[in-house]
Amino acid sequence: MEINQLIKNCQNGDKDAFGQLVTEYGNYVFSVVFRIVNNEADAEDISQNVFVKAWQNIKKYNPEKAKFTTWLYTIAARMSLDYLKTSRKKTELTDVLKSDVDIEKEIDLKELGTMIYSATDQLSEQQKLIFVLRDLEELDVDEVVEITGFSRKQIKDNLYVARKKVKEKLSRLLKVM
Amino acid sequence: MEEWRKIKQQPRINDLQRFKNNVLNQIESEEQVRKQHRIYWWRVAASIIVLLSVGSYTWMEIDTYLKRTSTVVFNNDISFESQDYQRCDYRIANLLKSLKEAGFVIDDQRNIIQFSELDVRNLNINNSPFASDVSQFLAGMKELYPLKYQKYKSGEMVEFNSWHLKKDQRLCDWVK
Repeated sequence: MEINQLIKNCQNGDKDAFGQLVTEYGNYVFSVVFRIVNNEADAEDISQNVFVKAWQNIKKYNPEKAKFTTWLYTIAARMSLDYLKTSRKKTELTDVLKSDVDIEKEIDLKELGTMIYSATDQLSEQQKLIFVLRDLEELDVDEVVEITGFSRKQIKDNLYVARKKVKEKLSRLLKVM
Repeated sequence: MEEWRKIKQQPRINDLQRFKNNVLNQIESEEQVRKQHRIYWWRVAASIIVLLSVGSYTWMEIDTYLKRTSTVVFNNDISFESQDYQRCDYRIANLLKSLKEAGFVIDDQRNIIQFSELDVRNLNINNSPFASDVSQFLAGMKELYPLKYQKYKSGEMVEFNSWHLKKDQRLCDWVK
């Protein structure tokens, strides 16, 4: 079924249609959240809450105003930042190593989480969000403007600093390895 | 850069089906909680309405009972008061009539009486039968309206609003 039809059905209270949306966009939302919080378990919890919030507000979504993914990413970005701000649980490397689920998959995510964390831990929340959306998720600037609410200049400046810091960090990590 | 390539790998949910079920279950349970919340608030609203209805009914009952019981006493007061008021009104009307007959200016349109010390003196010179009434009024005026009395004594024309005279309970008491 076409996405817009699925969304319409959801707005009419069809949970099965929403289930299909979760299947369709689950990984995208998880990806954004994981790259911000760098912890699989927390990322999954937050992603779950993102979809619950999306369901509760789906009637307010207007396809003429924004793409569905942009709307969903906005919720995901805000919830991830709230998580970082309120819990101040900027994922510790040790925590990442402690998580245990499916072995094969888990190793990937652990490694990935560790790497992203290592590369981005010196960034501010704002810089990290912009870096993740622009350079890791590869969203265009207009979408990042819409999701974050920052101006183009703020995005450009923060991205410049973030890229510089990540580059320095990665080259240092490579030297160590 | 190998490191960068690895970082760019897209993270994926372990078990998307389980994730979807979790989302739908959470939605279901939150809706239940919301429903219970709504029911709770409906109950609170209904209780408030019932309490207000019972309260206002009780208040109305007590209020009407008090009004019913106090009316008897009040009616008695009213009757005394109105008799008293009528007596006062009658006396003041008589006084005004005698003042008018004594030659004091009565302005019916403006509803006032006007006189000066000269008018009173003329009244006494002419041995008017109203002289005693007027001197009685002057005694009352001295006591109740000292400023006007001063004005009168200085020879100026003073005026009284007859409506005020009729309403002034002190004058009524004095006329008694």
